[in-house]
Amino acid sequence: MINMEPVLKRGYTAWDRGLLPIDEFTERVAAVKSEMQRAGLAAVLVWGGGLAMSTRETGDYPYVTGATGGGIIVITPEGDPSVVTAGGGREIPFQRTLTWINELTPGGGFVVGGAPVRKVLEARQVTSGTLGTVGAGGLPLSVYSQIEQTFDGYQLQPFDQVFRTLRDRKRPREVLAIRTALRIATDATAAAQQSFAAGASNARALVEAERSARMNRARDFRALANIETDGLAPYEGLSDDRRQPLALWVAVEYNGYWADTTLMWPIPDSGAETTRAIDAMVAAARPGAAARAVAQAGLSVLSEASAQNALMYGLGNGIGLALRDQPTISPTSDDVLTDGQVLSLRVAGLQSGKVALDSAIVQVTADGARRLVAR
Amino acid sequence: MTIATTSTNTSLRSQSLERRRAAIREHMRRLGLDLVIAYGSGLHSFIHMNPAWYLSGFKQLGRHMAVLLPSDGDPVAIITPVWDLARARARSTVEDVYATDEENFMTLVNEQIDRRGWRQKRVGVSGGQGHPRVIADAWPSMFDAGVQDVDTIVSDTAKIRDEWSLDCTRRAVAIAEQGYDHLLETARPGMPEHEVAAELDVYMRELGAEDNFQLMSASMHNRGVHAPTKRILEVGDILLGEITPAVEGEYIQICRTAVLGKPSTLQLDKFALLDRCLRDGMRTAVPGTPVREVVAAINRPLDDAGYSQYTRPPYMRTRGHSMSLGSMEPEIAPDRDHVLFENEVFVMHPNQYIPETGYFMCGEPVIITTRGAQNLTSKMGTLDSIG
Repeated sequence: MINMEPVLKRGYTAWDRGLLPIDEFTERVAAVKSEMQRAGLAAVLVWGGGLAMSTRETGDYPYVTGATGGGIIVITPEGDPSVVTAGGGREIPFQRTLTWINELTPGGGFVVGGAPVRKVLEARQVTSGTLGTVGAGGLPLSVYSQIEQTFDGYQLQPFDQVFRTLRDRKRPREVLAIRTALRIATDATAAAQQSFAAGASNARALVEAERSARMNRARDFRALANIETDGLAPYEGLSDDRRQPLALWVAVEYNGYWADTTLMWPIPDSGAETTRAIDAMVAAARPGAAARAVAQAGLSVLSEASAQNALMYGLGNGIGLALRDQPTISPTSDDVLTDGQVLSLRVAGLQSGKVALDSAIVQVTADGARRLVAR
Repeated sequence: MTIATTSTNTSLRSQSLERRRAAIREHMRRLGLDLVIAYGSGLHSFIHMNPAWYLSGFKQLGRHMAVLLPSDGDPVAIITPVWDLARARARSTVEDVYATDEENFMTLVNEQIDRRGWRQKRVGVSGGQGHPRVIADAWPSMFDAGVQDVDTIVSDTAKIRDEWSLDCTRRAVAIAEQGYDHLLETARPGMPEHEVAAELDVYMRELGAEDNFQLMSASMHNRGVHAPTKRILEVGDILLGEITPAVEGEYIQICRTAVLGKPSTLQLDKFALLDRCLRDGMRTAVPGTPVREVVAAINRPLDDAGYSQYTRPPYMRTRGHSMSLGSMEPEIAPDRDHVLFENEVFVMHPNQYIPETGYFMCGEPVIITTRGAQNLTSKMGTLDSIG
C-alpha cells in the first residue's frame, strides 16, 4: 500500500541477535560474493538510504549489514564487507551496536560521497575493474554525478537485479522476522479495535495502533484509515469523525523486516467478497505463476465496483526488508512468482460505497502459497 | 488538547501560498523563465527542501508530484497515486490537480506540457536535495531548450518565513514544548528508552504533529544522542531528547537534557556553560551577520573553558540548521558563507560533548530579528530532573 514515509524511523532501534545472528549475514554475503565472481566484478557497492538520500527503502543495505541506517557498503572478494556510514564519527559507537560488520568509516555527512569508498577499495587492492552498483539508480542527481567523477578509472555497472534475485527467496530467519513484525502489526490492530469499540474516532484508533506498535518495539509504523473519508487517508491530526466500520491498514517494521495487516471492525456482513478475493489470490500463488494471473484470480470474484477500487489501491507485492518489494501483483505486471518469495496480498474492495479491506501474508512454496501466522 | 489541525486559518494559508507563487514568478521574470516545475519525491525529510509541497500546500503520499507553475496563467499539480486525488484537491491550493500511477507519472506530465503548449518554453526545475536521478535526467529531454536548476529561487523565497510558515512553526513549537513537559511527567526509572520515546511521539501525534524527527537516548555518560533502544532508565542516567515535530511540513526542534534523579553541581555548571554559549550565539545573530560569526560566538565560552577540541568533528558537526519546508538555509556551520536575514528560522543548538559530564543537548528554535535571535519557545531549556 502506498503510504507516507516518516522523516525518521524513530522507534525501537536495536539488533535482535537471537533472531538474526551473525552467521545469517555471513551466509548472505557469501552468496553475494559468489554472484559477484560469476559476473566478473571487482567489487560491489550497495547504497543505503540515509536521511539525505532518496534511495528509499529498497532493503538492500540491511540485507548485508543487518542495520537500517544509511551509507555505502563495499563488498570485495576478500574479507568482510566494509561500510562508509552516513553521518560523522560521533554516530559510529551506536552504529556499531546495530551491525555485525566491524569496519565502519564515517562518511562525514548525511550524504556519503565516493572519496572514502574509493579509499576502502584501494586499501583492499581493488584499484581497477568493474564495480557492481546496487541502489545507485535512486540517488539524487547531484550525488550520482559526484560518484561518477570519483570512480574515474573504474567502470560502474548496475548489479541491482542479481542482488534482488538473491533477496527474493526469503531465508527461514527472514520469514521468522516477518512473522515477528506481523505479531506487532496484529496487536496494533487489536489496540485500534479496542479503542474504536470504546467510542474513539477513526483517527484516535489509528493513534492507538501506533502506540501499541511502538511500545511493542516497532521501529517504523505506517497506517491508513477511513479518516474523514470513505476511502483511505493518512493521519493528519486528530479528528472527531467516527465512521463505521473502522477500516485500518497497518504496516510495521521490526529489525528491518516489514509486515502489514488490515482490520475491518465491526466486521461488515458483506465482508465475504474481499475474503473470497484474498482466498482466490492465495490459491493462485505458486512458483511459476504469473503475478497478473494472481491478480486476475482476485479480481474475478469481485464486483465491478470493488474490482475498480481494489485496482486503484493495489493488490499486493513482495514484502520483507522493503514494504513494497518485487513482485507486483497487478493485472499489468510482467513479474513471475518464484519459490520462497513472501507476498503481501490485499484487497481494498468497495461495499455500499465504503472501502472494505482484507489481507494475507503468504510465502510462495512448491506446495502453493502458505499463509504466515504472527509469531 | 489538539493544538494543530490540518488547517486553522485557511485564508492565511491560501494567501501565503499565493504570495509564494507570486514571489517565484518574480524570480522567473528576472531569469527569463516561462515555466517552473517544482518536484516532490514524497520523501519528506527534514533536511530536504520540498518544492512541490511548498508551492502547493499539499503533502503527497506517492513517490512523485510536480507543480507546473507558468509565468502567466494557473498552475497545475500532478500527483500520485490516483486514489489520493480527492485529498489532494481538498488540501492543495492549486486548483487544477491530476492524478496517476507512479509508472505513468512522466507520461501525464508530458501530456499536460503538450496540451498547454509548453514544449518550447524556457523552463526551470526545482527538485531539492532529494531529486532522484531517474527523474532529474528526464526533464531536459522534455523541453526543446532543456531546463535549468532553480532550487535557489525556491530556497531564497522560503528561507524568509511568511506568515503561514510562521503560523505552522509556532504551532509545532507549542507541540514540542507540551510534548517535553509530558515526557518529564511520564518518564520514570525502570522504563526502557523506546517506551519513553513512544509515549512522547504518540502524545505529540495526538496534539497534531504530522511527523516527528526524534532521537532519544540515555546514558550516565553520553557520547551523543541516538535512536531509542531497550536500555532501561535508571537513576543517574542523563536522558537526551532531540524533539522535532512538524506541522504542515514545517519542522521545529527543541534539544533537551534531563537527569534521572538530582543533577550534580558539576552537571549544572556544565549545562550553564552551554546555556551561555546559546545565549551568546543568539545575541550575535542579527540580520547581516555571517553564520561563521555566530558559530564563533557559540564556541567562545567553550574555547575559554578549554574545550576547543570538542567544538570540532567528530564531536560537533553544526551549531544549527533550518528545517524549513522550502529551504535548508541557514546552516550555522563554520564552513558556510551564509549571511543571516531577518525572519529566518532555525534551531540553534550548542549540543556538546563535555569530557567531565558527557554529551548535553541545549537548543532552541529561533527567529532572526534586529535584536538578535529570539527563541520561539515559551521558555529556554534547562537541565531538568526526572523522578
